[in-house]
Amino acid sequence: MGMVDIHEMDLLQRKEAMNEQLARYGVRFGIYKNNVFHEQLFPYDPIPRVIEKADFAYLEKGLKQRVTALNEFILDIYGKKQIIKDGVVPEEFVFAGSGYLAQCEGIVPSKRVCSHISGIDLVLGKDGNWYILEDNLRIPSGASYPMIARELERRCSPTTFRQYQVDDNRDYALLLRNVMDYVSAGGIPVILTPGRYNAAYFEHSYLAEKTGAQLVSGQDLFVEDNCLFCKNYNGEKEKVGVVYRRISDDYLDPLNFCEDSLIGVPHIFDAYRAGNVALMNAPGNGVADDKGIYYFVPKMIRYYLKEEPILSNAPTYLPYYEEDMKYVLEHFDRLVLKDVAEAGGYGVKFANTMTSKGKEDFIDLLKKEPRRFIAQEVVDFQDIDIYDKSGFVPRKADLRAFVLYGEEPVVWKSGLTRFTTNPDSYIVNSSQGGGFKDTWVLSR
Amino acid sequence: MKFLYRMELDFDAPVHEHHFTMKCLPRSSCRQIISDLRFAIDPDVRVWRGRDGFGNIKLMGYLKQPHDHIQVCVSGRALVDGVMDREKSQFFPYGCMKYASALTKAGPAIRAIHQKTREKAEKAESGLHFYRRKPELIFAAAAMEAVHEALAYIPGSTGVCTSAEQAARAGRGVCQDFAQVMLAVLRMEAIPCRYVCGILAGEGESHAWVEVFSDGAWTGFDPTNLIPADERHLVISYGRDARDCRINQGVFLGLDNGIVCQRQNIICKTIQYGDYYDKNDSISRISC
Repeated sequence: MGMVDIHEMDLLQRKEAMNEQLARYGVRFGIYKNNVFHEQLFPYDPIPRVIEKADFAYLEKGLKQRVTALNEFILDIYGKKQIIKDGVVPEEFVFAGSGYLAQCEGIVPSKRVCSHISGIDLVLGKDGNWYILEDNLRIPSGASYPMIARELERRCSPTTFRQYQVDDNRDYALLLRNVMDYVSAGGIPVILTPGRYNAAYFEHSYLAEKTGAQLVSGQDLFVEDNCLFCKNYNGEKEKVGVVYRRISDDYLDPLNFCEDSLIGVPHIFDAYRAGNVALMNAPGNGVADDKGIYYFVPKMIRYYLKEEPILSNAPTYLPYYEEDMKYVLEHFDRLVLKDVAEAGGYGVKFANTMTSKGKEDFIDLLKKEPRRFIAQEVVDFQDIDIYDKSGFVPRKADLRAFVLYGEEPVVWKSGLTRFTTNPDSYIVNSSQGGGFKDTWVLSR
Repeated sequence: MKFLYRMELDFDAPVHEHHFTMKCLPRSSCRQIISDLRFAIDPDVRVWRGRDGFGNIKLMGYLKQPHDHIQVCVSGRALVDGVMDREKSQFFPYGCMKYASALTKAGPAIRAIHQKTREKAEKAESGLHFYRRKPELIFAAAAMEAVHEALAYIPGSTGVCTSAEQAARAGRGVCQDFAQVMLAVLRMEAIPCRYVCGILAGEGESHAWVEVFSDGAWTGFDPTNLIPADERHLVISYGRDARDCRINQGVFLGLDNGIVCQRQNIICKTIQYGDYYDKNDSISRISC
């Protein structure tokens, strides 16, 4: 823990106060269980994840490199497709994947930025190395939790930040607004939310408040002459220059994507194609954060940037390749298998927890549909203590780092650390029940 | 040829807040030159233009006030030539066209037609000089035959959302289904192919067929009529399947509660050069 001795921290005494404050501010997320919407508090743990200055500088370099390559890949796929022509990525992983959207063909987004906000999930292995678990380039959420947690920590325990030299993370809204202004096609900035029944509605409203962008839903917007407008309270219309949309591609525009969407804006995608409004993140980004494409990211970095990747993937095998299939079958029991079409911690299977019948069935399925799965070594990652009734207990935790891409990629000096409350679980996804911690980047 | 194309939309109850997209304007390409293109819409509403990911022309509009009827008229002249459409794109030319789309996923019924196609293609290969000896085109010709045999042309037997598998199982359909079943069969062989929506000279409705990518060009096959696409086939739009080529697409609100039904009526009229035609039929005089 470097210069921070957690046992002495004043914050530990403030856990209850912090959680009360967070509840008062409505910091929660929603889950659909059996089609019923439940809103839950997101439990906060007072022990922060602490990242030393030098460690963060290394992470920062690696994350910028990764996001730059991913952004190039998206531009390439919807443009010249050079990486496919050169045989680095097989075409079926792109065109037959669920993330590829033919509607985006030929579009170059404003200022050549596709992945304005990237949420990169990492874990710190027991060997001391960081491993990338997943790239989230569609609508990664979670930045608001450490933002507001820090604000409340300062309020509940003012001495803490005098004692420790921690980089301020309250600049996220400023970084986000800078990106919005940089890519804007001229007009007001808005944040488009599906509404209050969305899992991340707290975040949408909080970011709107902090960035000064207008929080809108689909009915507030309309398209005329290939331009997007917002109706204000007086019934006047204002041109919209940039939309930070928190609606997924499928539901964004009923006339270009899923037809039964009631939360989208008809023709918004056409206004975007015409270059009259910027959408962030760009539609179609899913082509780069598919679990099957993950395997190719180190190759992309070498291909586009002519550099060696700084951060490593967790060791991954693609059963699509014969030799990888052979390896997977030989070492099946120690691997984790992921269905490339699933997200949010679903479709993840640890081979050592399967019954022998389940194993057989799975191997049959794997042989039949090799493209559908990736296999990974289970990364033994470092535990972080959480402060429980019984004192300090170790739990699995990951880190979602945020990279904001405007004029150039900037890594936010914080991040969302999620931990599992279940001592035996490796899955830290918040939709699977878990909590969060603040992430401190030391400034000295 | 001269062409005239009229689409009428009728709603059983008035609707408002109607946003619509129409892909009804043909564009010039290597195989067709379009000129004198005219477009009219009633009720009079501002319409703007755009393109989709395949380069098709889109007309878009927003009708706020209540209405129960829309009529659109398109007319123009087309010089259609040859069978092939040379691919101009220096980019990856066929992209996603090789892979099954939402409406062209293979099931048991498609697999059965695929099997028949294989048998036909094997027999054909020994003596066929047609189709430049390209295996994908020989296979496509066999698929066209197999699809034509497997489906009966029965208007109204399928809907706009019917998938290739559903149509193949039912054994009947309209041109859209013939085209989609053929696409599904070809995509099982990983042959790049695309759905084409257009006008067939002499037919009174819009038509659909298939183009197959081979050797840098797209070759047209019309499985409904069991003929290669030729100078009578005027292309309006193309895509992965019928969903990308809907002539009209819209979202609207009904004024009353309940479901509003929409009926679409399309009338095409074509006049081939060389054919005798009445001067009164000249397109500039037809009003919408």
